[in-house]
Amino acid sequence: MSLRQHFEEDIANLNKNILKMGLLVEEAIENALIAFKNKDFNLAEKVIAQDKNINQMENDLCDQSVLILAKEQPVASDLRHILAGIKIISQLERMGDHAVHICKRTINIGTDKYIKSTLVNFPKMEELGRHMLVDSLNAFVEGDVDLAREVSARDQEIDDIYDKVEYKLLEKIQKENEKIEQGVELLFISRFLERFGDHVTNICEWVIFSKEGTHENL
Amino acid sequence: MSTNIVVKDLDLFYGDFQALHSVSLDIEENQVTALIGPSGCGKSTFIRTLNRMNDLIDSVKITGEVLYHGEDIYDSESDVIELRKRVGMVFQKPNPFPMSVYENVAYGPKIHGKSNRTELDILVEKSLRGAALWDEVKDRLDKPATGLSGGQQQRLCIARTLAVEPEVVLMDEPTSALDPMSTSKIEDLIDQLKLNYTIVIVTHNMQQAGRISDKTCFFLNGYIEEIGSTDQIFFNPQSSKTEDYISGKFG
Repeated sequence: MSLRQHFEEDIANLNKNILKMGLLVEEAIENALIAFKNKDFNLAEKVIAQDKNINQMENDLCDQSVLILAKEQPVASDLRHILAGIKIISQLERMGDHAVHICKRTINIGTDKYIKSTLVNFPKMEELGRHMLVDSLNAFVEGDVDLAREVSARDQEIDDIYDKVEYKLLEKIQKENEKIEQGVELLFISRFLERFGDHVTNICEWVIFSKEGTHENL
Repeated sequence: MSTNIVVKDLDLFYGDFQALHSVSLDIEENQVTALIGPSGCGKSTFIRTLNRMNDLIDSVKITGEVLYHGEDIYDSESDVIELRKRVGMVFQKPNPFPMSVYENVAYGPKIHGKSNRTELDILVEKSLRGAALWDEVKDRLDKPATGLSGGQQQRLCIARTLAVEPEVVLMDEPTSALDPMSTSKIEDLIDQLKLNYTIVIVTHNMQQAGRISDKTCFFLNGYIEEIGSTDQIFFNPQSSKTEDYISGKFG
């Protein structure tokens, strides 16, 4: 057995599980938007129900990380990697919650026909956020700070769409004085999608902490 | 914070073999400085230069300076006996003299001329208290020191060092032969001692260096690879070799 083989295996296993948790969140946000677009309330309920798996993973991975800390007593970049992992799983848990919130708002809106612009913009925000999520977790596992910085820069695109959507929704509500309740629900959904991107940016900041030991405000 | 010992460009040779290469290091007062590094890296050789313990080895040749309060301890005028009184040493294995507990502690002061029994009593108690051993041995001061447990023997050796009222205490792997409980007691003790003494400690135990020291110095192949605050060394070392060593990638 080579030096640190056990530790390296522990870290590889932890990384794999963080990627798995990321996959659950990725599925949740993707399905949340499918449920939104298609008014598929069964799928929305399913996403809500499955959030418990994401929450459970957060606890399991926290325990797994604590065990590595206790048994291996890592230092320097090894220690920072595990700390960053703990911070990242709590970001993932919050992102899963956003998928749940989107589903709940979708159910609240019900069969009422959507205000048009959201049907184009929300899926776009979701797609951007989802790809950012995948890339940020790859950056974490690979220790790729350049990728982390590049991913976080993409958040601007989500923010720009959010600003546009927010403006349009407010305009619709104020000027046309119609679909006020739906407008408010949609404002919330756009906010959840915008926050999703912010959480990815946070993940990217932890990737940089893990590799460079510095806190960078991306 | 003032500097107690300043080492400048120290080279040390065992015959033709150079064991230390231009080592420079400031040792601050009332701090714990940990020396870490793989076996054979020169850390024990280095700590022994601080009170001229290497003088006992014939083939040793030293160049450079070790300034103790500004005076070069390798100057021909330097008083080695006085130096070793001011810069005491605790070794890896507890090595009590085959005498009573009391006599072990009183031995140093007696050699340095103290003979008044009352004065010695006070000094022995003070030293044993300083080494966190008094409560455990106060009723058996006349019993053989060799009857104490390993951890107690090591604290007795620390008391013996303190009895000659040093300023600096050098410790060469002082807990490597001890069980975890005794190790923990010595570590707590080091935390207390630094209030009054300057401590330099060689340790193979990374966690110990992390726990007890203020400054960490990483030796590799006779060179200082990196010096920094212990927080910095263990959180974000600048040298990849330091990182690899403290992370257990070699050693």
